[in-house]
Amino acid sequence: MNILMTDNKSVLGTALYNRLIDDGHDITVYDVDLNQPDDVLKQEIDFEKIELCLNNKYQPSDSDKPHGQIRLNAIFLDLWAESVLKYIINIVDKCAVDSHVYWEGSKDYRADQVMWNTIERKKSGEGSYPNHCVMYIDYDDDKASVYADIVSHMVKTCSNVWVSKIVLGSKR
Amino acid sequence: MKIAITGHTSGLGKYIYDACVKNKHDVVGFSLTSGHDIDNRDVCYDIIDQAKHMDMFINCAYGSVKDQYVKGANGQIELLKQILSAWGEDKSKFILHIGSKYMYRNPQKILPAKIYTLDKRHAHDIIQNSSSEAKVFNFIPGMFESSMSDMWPDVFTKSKMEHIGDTLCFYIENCKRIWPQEVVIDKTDLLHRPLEEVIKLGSTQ
Repeated sequence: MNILMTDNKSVLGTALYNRLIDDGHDITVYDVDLNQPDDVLKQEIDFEKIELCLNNKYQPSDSDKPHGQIRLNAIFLDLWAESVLKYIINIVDKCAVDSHVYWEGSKDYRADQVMWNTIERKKSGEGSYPNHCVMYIDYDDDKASVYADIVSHMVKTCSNVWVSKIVLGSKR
Repeated sequence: MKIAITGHTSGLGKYIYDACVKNKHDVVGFSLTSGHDIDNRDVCYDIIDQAKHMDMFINCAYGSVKDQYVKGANGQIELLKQILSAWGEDKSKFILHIGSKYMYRNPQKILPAKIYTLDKRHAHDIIQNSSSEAKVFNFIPGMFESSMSDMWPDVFTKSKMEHIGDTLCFYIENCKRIWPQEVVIDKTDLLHRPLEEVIKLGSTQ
């Protein structure tokens, strides 16, 4: 499978990259600046050839706009609108689905909730859409290989069983 | 690993049961055909009494669609409550609850569908609000091929049961490394349409 990923330098990014390479996938890495996610469209990337976008880079937002991962997700939803054979996996911090009390006021909490709500609204409409997943994780370097195993399994089985939401990590 | 599973003689439960036996687990099944009617609360107590010594409880059988306000809680919900209570302080235990993407629907006017939606939503809320130390995994599949889904029109995109079952087995086999809190499977693209519209679409095919 042709996969575009946005980070292969962090511990998790490295684990994901190595695992997907081992699985035989063709990987393109675009080290996105999440404060300028639209720049992805200016790159010499064959978006028709890419089948899966792994939106795995995390960086704190320095703007008042929606978080860069959300904007990147929206870019690919638009780019691949009506394409049922395209896949998007967003890896985001689990604070998005934890009890509000722990994260009230957190920009990330609000942003991640927006991501899930946006795709749910989109799906409620008519027509097709790319296969979309939000993977909620605890950012813990010790778990990088476990997360890589899960993504590997999800990609291997994606044409038969698509995981649209997965919540990992300990309950807070 | 010692595993207890409900609904092990048909459908997804049978698929998981057979796979777990094949993978050399010590599996005990409870189903209607083996004399365990989970809609009977005393039967639930009996099942939990046997299951509490196991490592994993797979809450697969739904029981029957019934008016919970007249006849008591749905069997799957009753078992969920009892196993959460029995394993409340045991971090080493695993609970796999089979939910349904139907819970995201607006409750329908047709009573069985409405009750099913509310039951699945109720179970989800119980899991979300549980303070149990046991590791609880709510698996929420969309429509897949089964005797239950046969009653629904073919306008739904149905996953194959073996694909759903194999996904579950991946998590069961890796439970000590990977045990999600929640997984939603999405192959159903008409889920948000009103049920009456879906039935109408099916009847015109």
